[in-house]
Amino acid sequence: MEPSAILDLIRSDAIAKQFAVAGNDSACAARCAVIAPTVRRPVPARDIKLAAMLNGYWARMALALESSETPKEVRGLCISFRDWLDDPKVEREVDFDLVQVQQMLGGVVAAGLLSVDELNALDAMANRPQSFTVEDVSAALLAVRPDGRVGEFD
Amino acid sequence: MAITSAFRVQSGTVKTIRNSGGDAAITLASLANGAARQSVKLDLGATRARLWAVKADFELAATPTAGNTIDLYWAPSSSGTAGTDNPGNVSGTDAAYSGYSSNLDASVRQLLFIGSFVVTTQTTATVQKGNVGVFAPPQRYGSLVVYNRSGAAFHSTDTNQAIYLTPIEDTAEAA
Repeated sequence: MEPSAILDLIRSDAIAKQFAVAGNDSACAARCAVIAPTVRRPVPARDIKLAAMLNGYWARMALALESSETPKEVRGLCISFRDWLDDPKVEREVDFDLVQVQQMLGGVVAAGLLSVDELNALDAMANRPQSFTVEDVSAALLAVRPDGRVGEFD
Repeated sequence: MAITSAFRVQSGTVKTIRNSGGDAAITLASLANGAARQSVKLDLGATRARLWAVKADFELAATPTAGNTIDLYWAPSSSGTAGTDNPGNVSGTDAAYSGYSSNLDASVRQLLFIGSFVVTTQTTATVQKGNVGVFAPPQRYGSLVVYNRSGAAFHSTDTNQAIYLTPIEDTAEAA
């Protein structure tokens, strides 16, 4: 985040500003990490597989794949989903914002193998908090610290 | 051959750098993390000790992170005039220090690094007293630069902020 954006973030939050005015830049940096909007990041495939296993839909798809009663299209989706996450040779990261990924997951939901809540939980894995170092915060605050001194600012 | 004399060291008269009442002034009150301050130019004497030990008392406005540092630098000078013959764009006055064109990190490397005051996680009102280092000033005059990298600002009062320069004087005595 740019220094001016960090400064705006601090100004927007009474607690962060209080820390800044008091010269407690370490606490201010920690507070910024709490109040800053999350950013979308690719998610390691192994993390998605772990979530799928822990929440039961990995097994649900495996069973659907083995069942002869499962329609061909749904079996195809299960194969795609499994192969998407289960390539041991590749340290893959998945971008949930890619149209192709959203289409495949939408298909899995439409086939009844994944609920909307489960899909939302998966999608939320791409939301990552931002981190701020003390140096980031101090550099941003220099603009409102004449002579390098802490004090009240607007 | 018998040794007929011994070399020893003794502590000379301490030079103090603080807001008022010292040998040179520096105003550290409320100095933010990531900012630096420079002192008035100090005269160490026409003849002086080769080595000087530096200790400091610092009080911070918030609890710092243990292991963070307040770094001290020396800007040696051949002149007693504030703005003359100073390295790193030091002014020789009690003022904010940002080096050349606000390139603080690069500019302090043009100064002599004395040492780091390593902070502990003491809360405000505790005055931390610590060793900083020993340095050899190459010239008679110089200014101190204090670079706050503790993660917290200095306390808003100057009373408890002081830097002590103790000359380590060589002496010789008969056996």
